[in-house]
Amino acid sequence: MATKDEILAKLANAVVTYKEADAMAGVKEALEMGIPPVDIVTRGLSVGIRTVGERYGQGKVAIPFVMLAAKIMDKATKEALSKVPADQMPKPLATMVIGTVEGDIHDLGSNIVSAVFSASGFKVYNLGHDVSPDAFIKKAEEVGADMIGASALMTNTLQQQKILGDKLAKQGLREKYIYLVGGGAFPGAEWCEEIGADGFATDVTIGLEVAKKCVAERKKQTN
Amino acid sequence: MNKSGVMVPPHNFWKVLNPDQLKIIDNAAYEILREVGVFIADEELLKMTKELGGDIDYNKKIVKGFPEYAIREGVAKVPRNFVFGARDPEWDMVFQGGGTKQFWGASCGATERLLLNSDGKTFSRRRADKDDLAYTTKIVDGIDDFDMNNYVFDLGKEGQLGLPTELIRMDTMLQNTTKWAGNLTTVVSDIKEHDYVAKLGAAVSGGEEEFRKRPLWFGVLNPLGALQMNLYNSWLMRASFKHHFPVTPGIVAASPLVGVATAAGNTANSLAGLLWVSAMKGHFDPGTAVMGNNIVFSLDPYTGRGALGNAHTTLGNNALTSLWHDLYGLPIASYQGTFAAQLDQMAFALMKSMMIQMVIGCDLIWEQFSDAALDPAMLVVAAEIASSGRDLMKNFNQIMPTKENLALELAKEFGATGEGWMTSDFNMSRIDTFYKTPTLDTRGFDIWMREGCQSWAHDLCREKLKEYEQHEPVPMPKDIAERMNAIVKEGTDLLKRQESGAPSHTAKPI
Repeated sequence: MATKDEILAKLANAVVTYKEADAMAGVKEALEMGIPPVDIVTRGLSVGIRTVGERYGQGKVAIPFVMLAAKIMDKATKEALSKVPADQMPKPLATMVIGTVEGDIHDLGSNIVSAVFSASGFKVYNLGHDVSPDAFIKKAEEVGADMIGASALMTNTLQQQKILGDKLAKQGLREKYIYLVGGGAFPGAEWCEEIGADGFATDVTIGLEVAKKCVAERKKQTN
Repeated sequence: MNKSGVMVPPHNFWKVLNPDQLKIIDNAAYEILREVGVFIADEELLKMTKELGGDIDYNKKIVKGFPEYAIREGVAKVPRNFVFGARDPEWDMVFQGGGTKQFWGASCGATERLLLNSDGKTFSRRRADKDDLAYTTKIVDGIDDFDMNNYVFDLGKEGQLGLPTELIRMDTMLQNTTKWAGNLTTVVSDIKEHDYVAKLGAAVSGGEEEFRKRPLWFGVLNPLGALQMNLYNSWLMRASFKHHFPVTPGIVAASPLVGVATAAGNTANSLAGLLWVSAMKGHFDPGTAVMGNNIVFSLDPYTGRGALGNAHTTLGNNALTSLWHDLYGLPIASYQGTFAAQLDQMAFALMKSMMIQMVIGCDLIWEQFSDAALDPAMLVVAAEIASSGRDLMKNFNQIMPTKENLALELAKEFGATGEGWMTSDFNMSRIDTFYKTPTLDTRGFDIWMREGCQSWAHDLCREKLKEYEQHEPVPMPKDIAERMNAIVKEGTDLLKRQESGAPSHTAKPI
């Protein structure tokens, strides 16, 4: 009979090798063995998804595989935690609401960010494309997000990132959220400063570093 | 005398598929239009597809079931022979079917400009604006190896300010070039922006009718996938019907993330999009040109960034060019190049891509650079590549095995040691057909070392750029420039987005 560590390793491996059936069978086996659901996620599945995220950052894994791993992770996690009370759920690194700004339908980038961030321990709510500032704010308030990410591909929709920042400020919510901007319209440091965003990236790997840094700084401030 | 373009040998292109194989892909494209259909975000355009026999699902905004004959009839109304006009008529580009002449240009749309730091090695970047665009437009105007102009810098700064960038951009292009002015793309400020841009065109051309005969730009439709038309592209398409400007459907089925991962499948998908757009244009605006676009696109699956020049796109571009030329008799454009960041890598990738576009017989060749931030020295790199490509085509005839080219009588006369060839009238009269490579540096190895070992891309091209910077295009006549300024002012006042205002999705159709 497999030990607890072996089962957890099997779960991680199922995510790393993109085998959904193995992941689901592993979750079932782990639950039957009495492994705590939170351990199944944090010491099993999460280890696998972090490995995928790291390999992606090193340019060793293509985006479709990250998407697939994130999907498997999500499904297996839901199964593992299906009977866990809300107050005992494992905490994500941070909760993020992300989307492509209003007027822009190019959501491939935000989908990639969504998958990679999910794979790296963030809880991500992806609102898709053509998202109005109000929709960003509404969702962030609803899910208690720590972070809002706004993507824009076109230069003439970049202004929407400013409008969202302004709306957050007007509603007295600006300091509540870490506000990150990104996308193929290439927001730079100057733009980031002008609109008062906390960080920017045009590359998901850099974006992840920026987000983690912002989260760490925010935690330091609140402690 | 017309200065633009270089004649090409139409029967000597590199073709990856035979006529039967092309036909299979063509049939697949019609099957896609019948059974997969097209998503159209704009309801007005969606309704219009009914005239092509499509079955419309208004809830899903998808139209399918296009009968093949309706598509073919629409495409048949697209002209084979047409002119893309220039302020200087000597730079008019005259198209006579597909695969007869090649035209070269540079294209980019970088939102930032790279500036070389004082260390001569590193760069800083800043948001590009209309002054940067005017600068590169003038440079391209002065380089004879470019037959046409296009925007190299996008108006990143003006876009951030919520200004109508297409209007300002096209004004900047027209004021600073005497050549064809390139791409008009989508707008988000308001659909009316196209009306103001059309007024600019009429002002420069001498009236709407003259603009229609010799249009100064085309509209680039950039659907995200070959089979979807978002709101902004729909507006651009309807504006093209209204103002009779040509379009180029940038069919972008971006494999492997949002498109089939084989060149054959992606080509069929791209052809379906190309056929659909052309049929619509032919039906609603017969007689106005459609310049096909051979983008069978792909993304780098590791980064999600655009990827050109790989096997997938190269084979697909080749097949789509053959399809458009051989089955429809129409010319085709190509935006090929690189999304690399480094100047030298761009030079390498661009040379490879461009040579392929040339030998597959593409009619309108755009050398496309990275759209993030651009070092203007890249224009010189591109000019050198264009020069090289044109040189090959201009001198192509020497490979034809004619009696004159074989020159057997002279060979017999000069004998096995060939001593008479060098100063023979035959060879002397052909010296100019020999390309001097590389054109920017003919120094020998020792002299190059003694003089500092400059890099070709970073040093010599940058040095050459200073020479090109001296070019000033023939200025726009004062009265026309004043009229243009008034149009831009009126349009900007009307279309400038307010601080709190989102782009108007609900703007009334034209």
